[in-house]
Amino acid sequence: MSSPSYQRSQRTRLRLLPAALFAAGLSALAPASAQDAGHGGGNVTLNETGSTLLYPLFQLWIPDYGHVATNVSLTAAATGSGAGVDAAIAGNARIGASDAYMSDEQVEKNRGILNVAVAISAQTVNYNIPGLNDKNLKLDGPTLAGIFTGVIKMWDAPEIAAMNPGVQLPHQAIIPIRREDASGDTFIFTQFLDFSAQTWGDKIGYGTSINWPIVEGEKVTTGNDGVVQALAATPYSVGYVGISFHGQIAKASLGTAMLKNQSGKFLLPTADTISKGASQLDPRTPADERLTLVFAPGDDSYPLINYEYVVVSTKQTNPATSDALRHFLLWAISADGGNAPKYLDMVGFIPLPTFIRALSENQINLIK
Amino acid sequence: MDDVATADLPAQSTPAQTHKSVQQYIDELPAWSDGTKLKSAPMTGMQWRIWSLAAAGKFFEGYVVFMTGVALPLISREFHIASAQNGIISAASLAGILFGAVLLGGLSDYFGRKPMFIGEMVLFCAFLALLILCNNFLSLAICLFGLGLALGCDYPTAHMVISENIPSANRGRLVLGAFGFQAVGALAGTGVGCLVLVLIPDLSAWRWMYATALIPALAVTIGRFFVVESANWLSVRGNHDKAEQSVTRLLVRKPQYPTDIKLARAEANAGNGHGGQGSFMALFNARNRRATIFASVPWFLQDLGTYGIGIFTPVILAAALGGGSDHVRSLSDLISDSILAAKGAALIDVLLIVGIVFAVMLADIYGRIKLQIFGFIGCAVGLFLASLSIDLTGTGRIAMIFAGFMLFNFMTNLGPNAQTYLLAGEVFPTEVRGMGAGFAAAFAKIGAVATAFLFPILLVEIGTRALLYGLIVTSLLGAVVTWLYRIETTGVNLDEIGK
Repeated sequence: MSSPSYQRSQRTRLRLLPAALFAAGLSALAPASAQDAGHGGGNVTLNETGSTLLYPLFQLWIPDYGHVATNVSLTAAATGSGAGVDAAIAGNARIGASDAYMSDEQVEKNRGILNVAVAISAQTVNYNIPGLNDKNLKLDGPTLAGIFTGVIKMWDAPEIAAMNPGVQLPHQAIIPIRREDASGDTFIFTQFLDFSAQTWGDKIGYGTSINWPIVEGEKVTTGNDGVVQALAATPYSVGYVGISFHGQIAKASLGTAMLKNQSGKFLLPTADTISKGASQLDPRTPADERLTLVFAPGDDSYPLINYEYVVVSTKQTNPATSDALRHFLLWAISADGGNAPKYLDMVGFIPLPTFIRALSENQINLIK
Repeated sequence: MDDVATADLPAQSTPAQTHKSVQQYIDELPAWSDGTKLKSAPMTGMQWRIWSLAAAGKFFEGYVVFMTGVALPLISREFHIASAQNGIISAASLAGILFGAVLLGGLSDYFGRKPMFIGEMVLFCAFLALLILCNNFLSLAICLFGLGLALGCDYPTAHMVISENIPSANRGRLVLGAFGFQAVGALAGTGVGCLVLVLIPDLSAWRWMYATALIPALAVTIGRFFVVESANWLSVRGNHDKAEQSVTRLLVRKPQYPTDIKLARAEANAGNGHGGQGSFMALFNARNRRATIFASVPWFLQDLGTYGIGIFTPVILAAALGGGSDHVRSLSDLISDSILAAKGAALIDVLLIVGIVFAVMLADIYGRIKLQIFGFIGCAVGLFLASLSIDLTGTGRIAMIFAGFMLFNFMTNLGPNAQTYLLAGEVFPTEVRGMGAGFAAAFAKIGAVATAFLFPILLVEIGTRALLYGLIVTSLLGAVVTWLYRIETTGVNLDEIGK
């Protein structure tokens, strides 16, 4: 007997097939359309603010898009996902960047605000254990939950030692490092703990800001760059970092953990393992694209992945702005525009699959 | 108030009236002019009205309870209810049923069947309306507790309202017929729940689900103002004049039969309503103890087995309908999981309906005791088949679980699930009937609460096999207790109960 979930997937695919075909056509047209915008009207400024994980990608996009649409001036700011969403809702930014989709309550109260997926990202769990940073320690959700609740205190705790036979773990206190700003990275990391560790799910939950348990010796900081700096400066620490900071992580010689997925396999984030995880959940992505990819099923699925979102209003201040915004976003998600390997490879992201790109285009076209 | 529908009857003669009890009048067979009696006493319009309004109440109970199963995932997401709090939600409903059955159900012995028959629906509608509007975990728990109170009150009340107003010969099938409407309501509730989710695929869908029940439930509430008070209860309370008026209104026929109702003036049993034989402790005196054990213990044991077979419900549903999403990753996931849960509930409910239909057909033919004993033994066999699945793998395992699950559900609904409900409202004398039936229902729910907490621990401590073997023993014990304390009520005049 075929399962309903399979049938649902098939139905969803069929329903969205015309949209996907339409998207394929639009993808080819997108740069040209965006360029057309460059020939019309006066100058338009599109300001982006939010996710620190997405910020490096915007930094790559901005100079190149300046050549695509000469009359559009793009600015970007790394303020954290929570601030990005708030700014987009308040109308203080044309684009709010976020690693997490808006909550049900936010959507309910702000019907005209869209969550548009622009790429697929990942997150790493990094540590600074002198002498072990060149090894990829194995960690799982329940163990990380134990560390971030203060139940597992030492690096040579039995739970960690059992997953890492043959590794000489130091008898040193673990120093957890977490974000204090409203962060999409926190959303992704805590959702991983929620899905994989029953006790975390029952007692703490997930979100961009949560009531963290107080852990002795813990450090708090803001932004991904803040976490990387804190990790580098604090021996025996552990924290979560967006994959777009892989350059800084390498520069600081931090260790990157292999994480246990739903099938029990320990994996590192690679283009293949991120892609495999995302492909498991593509068909379940609803039209509003608010879906989590964390702890995806599948043997080869890396567990800490997510859609990167731009949060935008369907109602812009004037037609020139809405045209400019629509054309920029269509360029950003197109395979030979902002989703081209020359941008995404630099930050460790992977491009949107055609199926998801179609959903994003449908939403972008709602911007008036 | 007086425009009750009438049942057409042949022209008949009225035999010389003698003073009889209420039930004797209700059971009396109308006669043709030549003195030939009808084969059965046709139901009057008022009797059908009472039955329909009781059955409608049962319908809405099943409707709302099963709909809650569909709505709860949406509510949990909207109110950010943690999985640990879900236990409180279930406990709130069960606690409401428990208190409602004992406290409110028992009040019908003091204040009358009709006030509680109306009051429980008023309570039901009020908490249903509040439920539609509630906006946090606490208000949700309070509303579900309130609905539980109404449901608990209805266990004894609906039964008594029917059984004290209808002919003894049809009592089994009519009480169980109304009871079966709970299952019909459950099926309708899951269906409407699904439909609402499809039409309004939104987090607010659950409010619309409950809203669909409110207007019809209000209509039922209003309808209940237009029924007669139980003449049986009035008579036992010594209100003979009112009892005569009540039975006269109950038995309106065309042409009228009986024409001149004069009730036997028995001494009031319930005293002044301030204790005496009508008190709660009366359930445990020498006269009623047997009925109390007989009504309560098998019901309790039946609930144990039901929870036991419930271990396999997820396996059955996954095999029949497919699994849900690995985690709720979006609102769409939540809605599709809720639809899947609704289908699962409907599947289980169909088994319930099949068993109840057989119970309705057979209760007045073979008697309650035989069906209850037969059902308990069948449940034990079903549990044994399910236990055999532990040593099997693949399709053999699934087939054995299915066989055990189906057999258990059919047998429990043919037997103890239906018969314990029926008997609990029949075996007590009128003056403590509400209290007794309410106590039996509450005693069973205490078992349900205890097992809900204990079973997960026992599963870990002694394992599934030992637990199932234990439940086979408790099912057989149910058959033994039924036999040892049996009080056969099939066709028996309720006046005779407890004498």
